[in-house]
Formats: sequence, C-alpha cells, structure tokens
Amino acid sequence: MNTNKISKGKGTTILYLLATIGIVLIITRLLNGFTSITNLSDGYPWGLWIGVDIMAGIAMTTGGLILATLVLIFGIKKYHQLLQPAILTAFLGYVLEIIGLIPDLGRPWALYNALFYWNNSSVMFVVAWCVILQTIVLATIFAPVIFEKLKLTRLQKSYNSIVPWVACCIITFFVFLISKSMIWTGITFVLFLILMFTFKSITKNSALLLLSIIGLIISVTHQQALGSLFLIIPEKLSGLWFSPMLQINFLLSSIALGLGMIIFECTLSSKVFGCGLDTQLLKNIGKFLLVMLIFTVISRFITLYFQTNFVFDNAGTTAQLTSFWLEIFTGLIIPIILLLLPSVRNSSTATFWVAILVVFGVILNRINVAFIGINRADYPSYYPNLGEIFITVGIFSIGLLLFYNISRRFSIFANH
Amino acid sequence: MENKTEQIALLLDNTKCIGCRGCQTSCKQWNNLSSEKTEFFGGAGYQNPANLSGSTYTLVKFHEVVEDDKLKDWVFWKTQCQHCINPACASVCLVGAIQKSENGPVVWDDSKCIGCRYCMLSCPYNIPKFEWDSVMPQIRKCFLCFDRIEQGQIPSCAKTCPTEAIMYGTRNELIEIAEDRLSSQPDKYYQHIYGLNEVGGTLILNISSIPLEEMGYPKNLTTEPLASRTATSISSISPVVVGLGAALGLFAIITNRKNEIAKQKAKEVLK
Repeated sequence: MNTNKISKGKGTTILYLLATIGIVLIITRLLNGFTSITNLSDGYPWGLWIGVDIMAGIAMTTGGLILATLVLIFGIKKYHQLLQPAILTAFLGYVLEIIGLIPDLGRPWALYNALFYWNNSSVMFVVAWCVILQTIVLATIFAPVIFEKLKLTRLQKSYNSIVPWVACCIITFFVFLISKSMIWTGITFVLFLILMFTFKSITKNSALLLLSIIGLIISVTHQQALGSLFLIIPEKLSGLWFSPMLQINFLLSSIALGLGMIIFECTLSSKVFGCGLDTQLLKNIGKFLLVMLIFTVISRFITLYFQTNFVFDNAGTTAQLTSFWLEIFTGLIIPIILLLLPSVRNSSTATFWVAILVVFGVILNRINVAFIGINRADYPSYYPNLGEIFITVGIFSIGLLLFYNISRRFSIFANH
Repeated sequence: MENKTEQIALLLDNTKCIGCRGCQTSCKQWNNLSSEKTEFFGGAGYQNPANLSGSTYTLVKFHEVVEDDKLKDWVFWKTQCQHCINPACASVCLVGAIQKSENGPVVWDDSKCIGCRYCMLSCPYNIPKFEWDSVMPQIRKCFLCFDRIEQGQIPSCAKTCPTEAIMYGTRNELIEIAEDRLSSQPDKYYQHIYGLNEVGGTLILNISSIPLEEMGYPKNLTTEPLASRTATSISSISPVVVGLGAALGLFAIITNRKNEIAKQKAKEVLK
C-alpha cells in the first residue's frame, strides 16, 4: 500500500514535468514558427500532430459514447459503473484536441473564423463543427456529476427542463450547417422534438437519453469525416490505406479503439484508485472488441483488395509496407487470435495487454494515413522531430493529469 | 461553370521558352517577394530554388531529355498554380479563405485563413505553400496577378515573357490557338493540351514537346472535379443523422417499455 502511494506520487511528478515541457514547446512553436521545432514541410503539411493528437485522440473518445449507448439507450444497467469515467475521458479527449490545435494550426488565433464562415463543401468544416458541438454535448452529459458534488441544486433541477431543448437545437443546427437544406433541418427538428416529448413522458432521464443519442450521432459523423478528409487524395495516399470507403475503416477502427480504451482505462484506474474491478464486465467488453476487430479486418482487406488487388510490391515503399504489416499484425491479427483464446478472454491482465496492442495499432493506423502513407517523391520524407513528439506527449500528459485530478475530486470511481 | 466563356487564362508553350526566368523575377518584383537562400541539389532539374515556396509563386524548371545515354533535348517548364475551374483547394477550405473569383483566378483571403493546411494536401498539383518560418504564417500561391487584371493590366509573367511562351487571353481563344499550333506543327508538339480537361479543366493551358508527366506533373489525373470525391460523404450526413436518430430513439423507447413491464411484473410477484 505504501509503495503504491510513492509510485503514484512519482507518476504524477513525471506527468507534471512532461506537461510543462509540452507547454513550453507549444509557446516556442507559437513564438518562432514551425521550422524551429517541427519537420513539417510543403511536401508533408500534415504530420504527427494530425495523426496522433487529432485523429487518434478523437478516435479514443468513442468509448464514452459506446457506454452511454449501452447504459442509457439499450438500458443495460450493469455497465453503469464504467460510464462516468468513460464520458470524462471522451470529454477530455475533445478538450485535448482543442489544445492540440493550438500548436498545429498556423493561425490558431483566427480559429473563431470557423464560427462565422461556413463552407459546407469542406469535410474540414464538418470536422470543425463536430468538435465544437460534441465538446458541448459531452460537457452537458458530464455536468450532473459536478452539480451533484458541488450541491448546485438549482442547476440540478433546471437541468431536465432546459437541456432537452438545447440538445434538439444543437442537432438541428448541426444538420442545418452541413446540409444547408431547410427540408433536412425541418425533418431533424421535428424528429428530435417527437423524441424529446416521448422521452419526457416515459422516463426521468430524458435529458441524458436525448444527449447520448445526439452524442453518438455526432461521434459517428466525426469519425467518418476524419476518414473522408483523405478521400480527395487517392493520388497521394498509398493504396495500402486509401480506399473510396476509407471513412468506414475509420469508423470501425475507432469503435475498436474506444473499446480498447475502456479496458485499458478501467484496469489502470482500478489499480490507481484501488476500486474493485468487475472482471465479468471487462470480459464482455473484450468480446465486443473481438467482434469489432473482426469487422475492421474484413473491411480493411475488402477495400485493400479493390485498391491494390493484393499486389503489395507496387503499393508502397519499404517503410510503408513495414508500417502497414506492423499495424495489421499488432493492431488487428494478433489481438484477434489472442481474444479467440478463452484463456486470454478470462484473464483481465491478458485482456489488458491485448487492449494496449489494439490502441497501439489504431494510433499507428492514423499515423500511417497522416504521413507515412503519403507519397511525395519530390520532398524528403517526413519523420516527426523531438519537438513535435514532446508536444504530443505533453498534451497527453495534460489529459492524464486532468483525468486523475477530476476523477479524484468528484470521486467518479465510487461504486454505484 | 456557366460563365466559362469569360474565363481568363494563360497558355504556356514550352517549345518557345528559352529559360531566361524573366517571369520568375517579374513575379517576385510585382508581388514584393523575398529572395531565397538556394543550394545545389542532386536529382532531376538544375533549377534554383528546387521547388515553389511561400516566396516563389512561379518557377522555371529545367529538364534533360535523355535517350540512349545522350542528351537529346533540354526542356524548360514554368510551374505555377494551374487555377482549376473547380479548385479542390477552395472546396476543402473550411472558412472559404481560398475562393474562385468570377473571371477565373483562384485567390485567397488572409484574414480568414486559420492555417489548417488542408488546401496543401488536397491540391493535385501541390501548389499552395506555407510560410513555415513565420510567426503569423499564411498560405501563398500564384493568384494570376488578380490585382493587375482588375486594373486592366495583364499578369506580370505574361508581360515580361520575351518569346510569347506565356500568352494571356480568354480561355476559349487560347484553346483555339493551342489547337492550331498542335495541328499545324504535329512533329514539334506532343499532341495534348494539359489543363484542358484535367481535374475538370484549368485556366493554365500547357502545350509542349514532351508529355508534362515526364517533368513530374501528376499522371492519370481524372477529368472530374476533385470536390466530387467528398460530396457523397458530406451529403450522406443528414440522412445518417435522421436515420440513426429515429432508430436509436425507437430502441430507447422499446427498452424503456420493457423495463417498465419487468418492474410491474416484479411488483405483482411481490404482492
């Protein structure tokens, strides 16, 4: 018990150190431009930050929405104890993405322009509004926990009467922005009004129920949109990753990553916070993970077949092929084989390590799509330099620290 | 698309280019662009700098045509923004900082840009460049001297060119001139107007003695505007929102009803 406490202290000290280094580097980048601490170039305008901070970071948030779906929409109450940490992770994932945008965008101070200038033919526009609206949705889903702890009874009471209306407006506004069609906007508004009144008449949890449906929808749209960003560059993205259905691969692998993160996080926090680990629940999540990994691998190979007809020699450089097989084996094939073994599924330690493999595989996938898979013969190939790596590490450290402190302050791991 | 006839354009004829790089210099002068520190590099081309950049909007590239280990020809090429009729960069810019102007040139608006660099990734010709060194970086590229055209002048590169390798005019009349040259001197020209149909057509029309692809221009470009590749994905969002919303809502209602019934039964059993 004592040794545990000491290591905890050390762990947070290291995290604070890494977070400080990250913040100092972000300031350096803002004061000195990109060349000072990054290897980004006109040939490789997107690098590590887009791959890890933005695309993998957002893919990690699906866990919270999967659990919200299971608990609130499908009414499977036993997962309730995992819900709050997962929602907190998802919310922090979005906060971190916004922090990650500060060094990555060339002109972060002009970001407010995204609120006023709407080019709805841009996938990036969809991504931007998913970030903005999902941050609001997740904050609202998590808010009752804070109201309860801080005894803000007045807010608690008005929550159920105001929030459903806000939720309806958010999703209607989202559809209006993207479709610019009054018909779709109208259909969406009417549908969600009907849902809102129906929920109000049948359950006390109507606000949370509506929010989690909207959160799931925006999440699906967001993951797909991140993949769709690359649909416009089949000439540049290697056939190992490009596919006209790239967005489906992104969606499926993000669900696998979300499940992996639930296992990873629950195992880890049960050690850090010393609360009991419900092995049966994690075993079930492991089964879901297996199913999602199988879907992902099938979808990957179907698209690969149409893209390259399995002629790998022409499909990529040595570096690309190495990275591709590393991703496929460590992130998909080995985890599938391991999860097929009952002995692995029944052991929480083994499942934990499988989850780490899956998380690694999906992060590598996003890195591959962001820069390793990009063919630019006329420029030296890009690899992230230390400055970029330490900013990414710093941002994730900030996330872990926020998670650690918020979950301690609001004791979200208390058993329900 | 509908006012295609009024589109202004450039015809680049590389058989007439003598490699003087006057266009490169006049472009820098008119746009007040700083010079670049250059270095000798290996590989294709001997031009300096090696590539376009935030302070080089146009660049004459040098290319050796080698046959049987012997230098057969020495080809010069003016690279610059091709000014697509349906530009990918403008379609992907989330704030619309890059816009297609009415009479053709693809221009940018500094005040809107947030620096996401998606335009750089999406451009089939890899034209937009970024000021990586700057604290307040911008996207930079040729804008066909839009400011000069508004004043009734012609682009500075076309004005400078001593050999009519760069011709300025409306797109339709330049297409006619290009077709004329191709048919009257079939031995001199590779029979293709690069830019006529590539990615839905560009304002810059290139004719030359060898295929542009040999100079490093992208091969096998589609004739469809690139924006069409993401259009389906974006237009499917609204139906997905409504469909998922209805399905999940229905599930939630059914689940709730089942739980109610289960509770009532439990109560009855207890009674």
